[in-house]
Amino acid sequence: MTYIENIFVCVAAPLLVAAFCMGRKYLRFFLFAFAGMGACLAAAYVNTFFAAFYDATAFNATVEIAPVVEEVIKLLPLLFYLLIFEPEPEKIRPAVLTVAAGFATFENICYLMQHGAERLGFLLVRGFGTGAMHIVCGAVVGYGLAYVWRRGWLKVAGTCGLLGVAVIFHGIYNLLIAYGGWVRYVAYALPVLAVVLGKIAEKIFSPLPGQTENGTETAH
Amino acid sequence: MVEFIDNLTQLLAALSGSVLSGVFYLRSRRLPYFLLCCFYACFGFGLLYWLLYALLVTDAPPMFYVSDIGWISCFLFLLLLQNSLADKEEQNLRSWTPWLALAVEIPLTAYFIRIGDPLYNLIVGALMAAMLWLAIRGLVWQSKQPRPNPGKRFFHLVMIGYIALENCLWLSSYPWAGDTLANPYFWFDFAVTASMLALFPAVRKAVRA
Repeated sequence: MTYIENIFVCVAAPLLVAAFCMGRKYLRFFLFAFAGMGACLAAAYVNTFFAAFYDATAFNATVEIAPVVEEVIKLLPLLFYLLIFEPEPEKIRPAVLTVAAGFATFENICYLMQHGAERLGFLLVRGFGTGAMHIVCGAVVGYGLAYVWRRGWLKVAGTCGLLGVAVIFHGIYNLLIAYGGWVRYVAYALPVLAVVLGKIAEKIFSPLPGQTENGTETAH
Repeated sequence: MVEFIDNLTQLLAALSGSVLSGVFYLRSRRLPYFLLCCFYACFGFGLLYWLLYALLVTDAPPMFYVSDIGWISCFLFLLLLQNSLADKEEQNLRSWTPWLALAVEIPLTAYFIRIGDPLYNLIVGALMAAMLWLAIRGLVWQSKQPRPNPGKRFFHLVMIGYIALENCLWLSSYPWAGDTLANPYFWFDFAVTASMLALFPAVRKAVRA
């Protein structure tokens, strides 16, 4: 049995002390990192609940339940931030990415607790693969939310669409991992490739354009 | 095998539609192309997961949720697309005809809820009813104009065709008649693919109008 909440306390305690020592300037970063780790903790409980509720096999829980639960729970602290604090678009992206990084870090810690830390080569590949997957999902949601939350009419469809893309990307990753064999290494390469392609696309394309009143779009 | 070809064709259609509407959006910066691109992308992404699952596990996903979120999003984008192409005066139109949408969709949704997942079918049923309502209202509006717009009329007709075919597809999926071409499900699905592809020229005509 893994005492996941005990691990959370041990990881969060020194960070919490550091957050108080470093002052208000860095508080936002630490809060979003805690939110990401807390989301991971909550997702572990909710995953277990739904797996038991649907009497799902380990494969189906990994491939079908976990992507939906994890991405939805990861989105909740961000929705709270967006609805309550109504931040500037440039503050949304770092928040989403920090939550994703916190989530991925805590997930990796739990993986190490359950499966051991003997195989450094595999853990390196897995660490980068899973880390990159959560960052890719976070980047998709972060960049997208910064765009859709400036447009009232696009908020619901846009958030649902971004959540859909993140869930399906996560689902494909988990599906390939759970299938095993050489396919697993395709899964590990997929998010890293997506990060590289995303950076290239960011360089090529200009930022998304703004919306004018007559329905046509103009670049900022 | 037929199911694999059917899904692959649909995935390629969604991918082509997404690339085409994305290119048109980048060139013209017109909102309907952006929404159409999102529709194709969400639909295609949901289908990609479904196809990979069917290919690796050789069965349909028993719990559906992953692809479902993509498909719900794609219908939301389609609804926004219809709204973005509606005339300002059209939104104040008073007519009983659009309510036909509810008469069609409520019994169908009740049937789908009885045989499938209640929450998903309720959401999709509501979205389908709203899309059909907007499409019928658009057609009624165009018919009342002294000079009806053929581009927008074509778009509304394609939308009605797409919604009708989607409903026929879901109706034919239960009871499952096997993985052969004799199963009407596949014919409806090929027709859905064609209607999805027709959405691109329809939006183009409506935007030009």
